[in-house]
Amino acid sequence: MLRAMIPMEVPLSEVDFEDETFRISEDLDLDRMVASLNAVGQIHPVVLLERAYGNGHRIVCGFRRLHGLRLMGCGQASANLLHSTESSTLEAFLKAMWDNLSHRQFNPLEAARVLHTLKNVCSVEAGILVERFLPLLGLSPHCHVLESYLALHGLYPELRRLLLAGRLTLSTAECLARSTPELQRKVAPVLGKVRFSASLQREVLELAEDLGAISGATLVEVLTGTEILSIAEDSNLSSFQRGEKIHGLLYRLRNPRVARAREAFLAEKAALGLPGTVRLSPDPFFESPRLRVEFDVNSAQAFHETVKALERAGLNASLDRLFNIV
Amino acid sequence: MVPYRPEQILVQEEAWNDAATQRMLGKLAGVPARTVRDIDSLLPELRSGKDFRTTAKRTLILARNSGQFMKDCPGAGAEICCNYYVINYALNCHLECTYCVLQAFLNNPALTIYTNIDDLMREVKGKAVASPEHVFRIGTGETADSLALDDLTLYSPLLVPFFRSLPNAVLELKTKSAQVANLHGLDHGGHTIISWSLNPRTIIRGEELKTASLEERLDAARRCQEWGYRVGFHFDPLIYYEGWEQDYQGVVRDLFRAVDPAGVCWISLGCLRFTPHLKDIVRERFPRSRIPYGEFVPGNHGKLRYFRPIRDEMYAKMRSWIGEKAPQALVYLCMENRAVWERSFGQAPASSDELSAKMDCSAGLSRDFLAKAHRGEASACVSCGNPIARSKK
Repeated sequence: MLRAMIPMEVPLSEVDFEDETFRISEDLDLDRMVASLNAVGQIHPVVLLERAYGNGHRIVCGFRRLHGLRLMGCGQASANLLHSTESSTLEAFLKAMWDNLSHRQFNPLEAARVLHTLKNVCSVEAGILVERFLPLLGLSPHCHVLESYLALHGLYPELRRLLLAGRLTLSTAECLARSTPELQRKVAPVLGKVRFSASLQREVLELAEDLGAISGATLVEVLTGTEILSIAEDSNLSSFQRGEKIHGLLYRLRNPRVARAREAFLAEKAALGLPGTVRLSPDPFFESPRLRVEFDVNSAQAFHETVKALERAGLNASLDRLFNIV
Repeated sequence: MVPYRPEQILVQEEAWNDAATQRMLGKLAGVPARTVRDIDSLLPELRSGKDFRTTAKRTLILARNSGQFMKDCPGAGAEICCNYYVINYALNCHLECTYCVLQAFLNNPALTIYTNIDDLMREVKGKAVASPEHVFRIGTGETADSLALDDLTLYSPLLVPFFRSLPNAVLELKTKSAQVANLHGLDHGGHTIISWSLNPRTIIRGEELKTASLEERLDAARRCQEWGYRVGFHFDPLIYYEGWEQDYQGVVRDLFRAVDPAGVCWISLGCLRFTPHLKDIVRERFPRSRIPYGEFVPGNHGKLRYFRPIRDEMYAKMRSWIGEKAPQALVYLCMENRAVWERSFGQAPASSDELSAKMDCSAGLSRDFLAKAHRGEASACVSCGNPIARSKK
């Protein structure tokens, strides 16, 4: 427990800003902090850990406040001091963790950082992390969850930004975090220009993995191939359209027969010349020759016109072919 | 086949007094054994570690099955189904086929053998006696290989004569092993069919890692025919790859060089199918496997299977190759829909009952036949006239 302390003024020159051992916040968001400090000053003291032999102080709680004060040109900060002879690294980090948890929830990257620090800096055993700390962080107490979050900690900076911006799902980020640094570095710019729905993200990664395994190419080679890069750069398309186009490309490469069948179906369907209110769809994946026909009308006249269009389509040679696509 | 040798045996408290337990412990003398009260409490330990699906099989659990042994085959929901039954004498298999569904299906990753085999036989007999008009074709190969553990369990010498005593039931022992020595000399009375899952040598080497070679399987089939058993073959899973035609045609050719087509009661065809979860497991456990990279589409119950034209082509060609060598053989599709039957075979059974009746007939289990067979008089199915390989006993 933190004993009642009397805050003291500590020169910022004695604070080691490079040491981020106890940092939890992913984003320091200094603009808002500086505005707050300008308006009302430093309300709460930070917590610092005194290094042995007087070699300055490590930041335990208050990274944003201290960076803000430094940015504002302040020379000192109000701080509670812990001494390294009295507080172990684990104790100090737990103070930082509880200080943060008391007023906010961690985002996935912060939870990952906490677990990484507990394991690798504070030497907390995996079993304890799973049983005690995962629930504390609002996570399920399973080994694979711990492994996922430990991997997530190594995510490439640009991908971290995409995750926090909601452009990547957590599972996609976890998957990328497990891949090589080279892949993360090379894929990040592509993902920055493209948007995929959550389900498409999963599919695209799976398709790319399969294509890599089939062709012997690396995932980097698949995901940064010429065609993909060219789609990602296509300024005529929205970022969502680019995503769909990349998915389509990978799907065609992975499933050439299914893709050809779909294209053939669309071509024959178009040849029937039916109005847009009539929808024709094949059995899923052409499992049977069955064809589903639906149409919407809002008047008797529209009904008659649709029926006539269907009659005309019935005489079209493409109709037979629709039942024999594969 | 690589024989099974566990590193430890866990015996459920209630199973200690079963004769099968004592028999297996005797066979595995030297392997440490201890008693367990609650098998479920072992699961966290058995499922721990990255490669638990491999390591857990080194633990053999001898336990009593407190539930039902006999169930409908999982294919029972298919549009055209042969109305088969399964009895599960064991859970899991050490043969390590990369595509094995048990990897994703079993909650307990150890290898479990049920020791209350008497209860199994009592249950089967109860059902068979309760429905004397109904024909029961029953297999033990759903959650385990039927014969790969037979040197340990010695169950076939119990089950084969037992099925001979049931006029309306036939046992099918499906295997990828060549472990048939225990079948020699048994009084099967035509009520046991021994069948093999077959694949080309390249698939056996690369994807069916600890199983018997094709030659060993076919030689075992030949011996079983010599001992009067009818035999069956299952090209399931059929696996599509470059060069599959030449390889599978070669297997069909080798098959009918080894066995007499007249003594083959059925041959099933079924293309590879698996769940998305299984795909992940295969990729992780067997990174060199090519199995996950076919052109799959989702089908019934979320299972992935080859795009239909691929299946159509494989079935049509397989049937044609089999037909050249064994025109009388009953070839059927497992877990396929009517459209696939019609496209690949040119016709489909009118119903599951029709397929089922054909298989009963091919198994030699029409009622008239049974009546005669039981008196040892029949040598041909009285329904269809097909010759039936009879026991030499």
